[in-house]
Amino acid sequence: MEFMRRLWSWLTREAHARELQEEMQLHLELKVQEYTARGASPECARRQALLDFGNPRLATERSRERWGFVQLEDIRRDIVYGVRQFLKNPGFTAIVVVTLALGIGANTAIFSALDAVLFRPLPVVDQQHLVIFSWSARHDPKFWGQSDYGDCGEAYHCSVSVPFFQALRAQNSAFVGVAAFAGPLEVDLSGNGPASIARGEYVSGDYFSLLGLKTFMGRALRPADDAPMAAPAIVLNYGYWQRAFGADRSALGRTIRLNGVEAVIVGVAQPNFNHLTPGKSQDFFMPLGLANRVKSEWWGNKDWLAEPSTFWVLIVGRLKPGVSVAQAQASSTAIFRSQVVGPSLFPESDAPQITLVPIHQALSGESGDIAPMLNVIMAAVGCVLLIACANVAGLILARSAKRQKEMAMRQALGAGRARIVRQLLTEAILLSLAGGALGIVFAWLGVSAMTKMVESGFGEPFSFVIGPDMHLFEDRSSEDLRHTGADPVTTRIGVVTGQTHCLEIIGSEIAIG
Amino acid sequence: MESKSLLPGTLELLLLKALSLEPMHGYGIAQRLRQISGNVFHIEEGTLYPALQKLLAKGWVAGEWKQTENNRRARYYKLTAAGRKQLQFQRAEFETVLGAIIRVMEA
Repeated sequence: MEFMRRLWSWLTREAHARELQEEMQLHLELKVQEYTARGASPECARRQALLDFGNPRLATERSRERWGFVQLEDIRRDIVYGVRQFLKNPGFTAIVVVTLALGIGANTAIFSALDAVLFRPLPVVDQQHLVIFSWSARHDPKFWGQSDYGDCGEAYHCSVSVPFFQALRAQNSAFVGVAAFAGPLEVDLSGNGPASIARGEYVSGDYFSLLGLKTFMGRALRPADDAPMAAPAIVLNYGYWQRAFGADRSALGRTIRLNGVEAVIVGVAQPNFNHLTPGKSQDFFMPLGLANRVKSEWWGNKDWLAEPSTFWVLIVGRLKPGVSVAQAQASSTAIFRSQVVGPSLFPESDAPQITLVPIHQALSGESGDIAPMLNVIMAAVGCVLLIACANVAGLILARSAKRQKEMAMRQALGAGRARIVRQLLTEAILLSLAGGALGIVFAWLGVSAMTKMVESGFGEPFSFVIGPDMHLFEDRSSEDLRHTGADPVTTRIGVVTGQTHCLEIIGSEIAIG
Repeated sequence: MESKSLLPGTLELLLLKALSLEPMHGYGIAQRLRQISGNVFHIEEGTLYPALQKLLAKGWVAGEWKQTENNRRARYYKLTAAGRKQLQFQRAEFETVLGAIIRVMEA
C-alpha cells in the first residue's frame, strides 16, 4: 500500500513539488504576519522569517527524499551524465569498451565450446535411462574379430556381435528397447552428381524410435527397413543434406547408389543430432540389415550379420523404469554367456559378463582428447580477461586523476561521499555493459571462426553442435537453424562472470581513487 | 531549543499527537506545539516539512487542501486510522524509554 502511494507520488512529482512550494510559501507569509504583529518592521519581519526557514532548497529536497524515489532520479541523471562524458571522450571509451569486449568475448566463446564438448546434452528423449552394453572377461576371447569405430574410451569394450544383439532384442525383459549401431563406414555414393565418398552409420530398425529422434523431412528408419531383404532405405544427416544436396527438398525419394547398391532416401534427420558419441558424425543412416550388401572391403567373406565371433556393433538400451541396473546386467550377462561361452570364444572360466554403462560415461569418443585442451585454453583465456580488466582499471585510474577538480566541485556543492561513489559506480557499470554487449558480438564471431578453423583442419564438418538447445524439435520449415553460434544461456553466464570480475577490479580502483 | 536535540523519532510522536487534537496545516502545527510545550519546542521549517512528508508517505496522515480563515489555500493534515494506531504505539515506546531514563536518573 505504501508502495502504491510512493509510486503515485513519483508519477505526479511535478504537481507534488508545486504543492510543497505553495505550502511553504504560505507558511513563510504567516510567519511574516506573526513577526509584524509582534511589532517588527515589514523588512525585518521578512528577513527574520527567511532566516528561520533556513535553506528552502534543502527543505524541498529533504522532503522529496522521504518518498524514496529520489534515488532513481539520481541514478537516471548519473547515467545521462556518464553517457555524455563518454561521448565527449571517444578515444578513452573506445579503448576501454574494446578491451573489455575482447576479454569477455574470448571467455564466452571458449566457454560455449567447452559447454558443447563436455556437457553436450543429447537431443534424445530421456538421456538418463540410456545405457551402453560393455563386456568384460578374464581374458580376451580366442578366434574373434573386433571392429572399433572409436566410440568408447579405453575402459570399456563396447563392440559386440549382431547375434547377441538379436538374442537380446528377442529375450530381454529388462529394457524398454535396445538398438544397435556401428560406424561410420565410408562408401562410394553415386547418383547425386559426381561420385563421392559418404560416411554411413549402420543403425538397427528401432534406433530412431528408441532414442526418440525425429526427422526434419520424410520418415525415420523403421524395423521393416532392417529386414534381411528389405528395399534399402537411408536417412540423410541434416548437415550432409544441406552440403551435398543443397537442402534440396526433392532429394526425398531419390535413389542413389551405395557401393553400387541402390537405396532410396526416405528422410532427413533432425538438425541438431549427429551421433550419440560426441565428436562423431556421419552423412547418412542406413539399416543394419544392409551390412551384407553394403560393406567395407576389409571385411572379408564372413557374414558380419550372422557371425557370433565378430564384435562390431554397439548396443544402446533404455532401461525399463522399476528395473534395477543389477537385474538388467544379470539378465544380459546370461544372454551373453549363452552366445559366447563355447570353444571358439570364451571358456566358462573366463566369466564373461555384461556391464551397463550410462551413455555419457561410455561414449567419450573424441571429447576425451579435446576436453583437457579446452581446459587449458579456458585458463589461458581467463588470464586474458584478468589482464584486460587490469588494463581497464589502469585507464580509469588515470582518468580519475584528471577529474580531481570535478570531484572537488561536486563536494563543494554538497554531494556526499556516497553520492559521488554512486556516480562513479554508475559510469563503471555503463562501461562494463557496453563491453559485455560488444563481447557477445565478438564471442559470436569467435565461435564461427573457431568452427571454421577446426573444420578446415579435420577436413570434415565440426561435429560438436555449439548452438541453442533444442529438446523439442518441431517439423516446420526451420531452415534458418544454424549449427554455429553462441549459446544464449552460455553467453549470458560468460558475460555476467566477465562483468562481475571487471566490476570488482574497477570498483576497488574507485574506492582507492 | 530546536528539535534536533529531541530523542530521535520524538518529532513524529509530537506531530502525530498534535494532529490527534485537530487537523491543521504546517504553520498551525508548529504554532500549536510551541504553545502547548510552553515555548520550549520551536520546530524549524526545514525539519517540519520533511517530517510531514514522511508521515504522508507512510500513510499515517492524509493531506487535504482547504481554505484558511483568511481565505488562503493551505494543506491541512489529518490523522488516519493507521496514524492513530501508530500514535499509540510510539507513545507506549516513548513512555517505556522515558520511564527507564527516570529510573536511571533517580538511582
